[in-house]
Amino acid sequence: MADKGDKTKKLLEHLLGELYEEQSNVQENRRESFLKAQDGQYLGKITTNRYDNDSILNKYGPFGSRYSNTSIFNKYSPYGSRYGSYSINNPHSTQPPQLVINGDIIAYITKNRHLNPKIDPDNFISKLTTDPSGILRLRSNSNFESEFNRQDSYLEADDGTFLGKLTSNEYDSESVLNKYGNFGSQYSTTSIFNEYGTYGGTYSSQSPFNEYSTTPPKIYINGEFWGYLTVNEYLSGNKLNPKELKNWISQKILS
Amino acid sequence: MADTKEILDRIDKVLRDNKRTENIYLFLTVLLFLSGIACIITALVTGELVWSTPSAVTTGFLYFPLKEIKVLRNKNVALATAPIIITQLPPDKAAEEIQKLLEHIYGGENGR
Repeated sequence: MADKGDKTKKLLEHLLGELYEEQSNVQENRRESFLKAQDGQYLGKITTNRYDNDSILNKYGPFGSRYSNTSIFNKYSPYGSRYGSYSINNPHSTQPPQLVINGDIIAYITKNRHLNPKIDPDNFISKLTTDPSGILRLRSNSNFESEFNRQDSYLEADDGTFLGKLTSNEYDSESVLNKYGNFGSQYSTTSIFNEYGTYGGTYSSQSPFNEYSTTPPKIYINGEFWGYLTVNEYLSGNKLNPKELKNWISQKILS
Repeated sequence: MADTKEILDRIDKVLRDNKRTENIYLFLTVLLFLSGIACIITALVTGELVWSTPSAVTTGFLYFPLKEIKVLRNKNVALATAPIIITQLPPDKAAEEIQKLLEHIYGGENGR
């Protein structure tokens, strides 16, 4: 049976929507950090606790579920759809949600390039997932746009984790070639060279050394997606064998 | 939130619709099965083994209605559970459980 006419799905989604609506009628705390739509709708709390019912990251909560009408992750909600007037994903919206940190409005979360200050929704969600504390540290006068919109060359795991800069400078603390840094050490959990880690193990789905992985780390050059770092020869698109990474960086002169 | 009676009425209506769909699938399954049997009998009576080929094909086709019936029954279990979840659990837990039911039947979204 096609999902479109599936009455069971429609009914369960409707019941779920009602439950979320009931929960979303909360009063925001003035000094809290949260996302707020410009029609006044509270869109969830920015918190490191993803089990908090009000957290944007709680995928079972009213602000993180893809079924909730008050969630930016619901592709059909006014706040998450491509055409919603108050949506983060509408490139023409002039009233996208605002990010409030400790009671101060910091930026718009929007795909609309003409609004300022703004943070791209994809970068916002990626940062929120990997480093919510970083978002909570933002101040209205901080240079957050460069922090969210990286223009350098780097590796990123499939879950959005930053895996180090692609630079030939082995002394850069963020370089994947720095053997003593967080991204180059064989003991670091965020290093692709840790053979027992999530991002370096032979059997890990997010590792470049897993020959069957379809979700290896992504390579970004000057902020643009280039391809994958993987030993999987059958993955389509640009790919680079991790064993050739050092030479490749030198050849590309990623200083 | 709608009251329990309204929820139950809505669920009953969908369950009835599902039952009708299930009956159609069962009817088609039986039809496929009987046509397969008929072919085998023809093969035995006429002695022409070529008649057994359609029965093999129809047996293969049985997979699809049986799969749909299984999915429908899963849906019915979810629907039967929903009122208990909604009335017995606090709204946040109820929402979580209903979403898990949805993801169990229709699959979760990758990446989050």
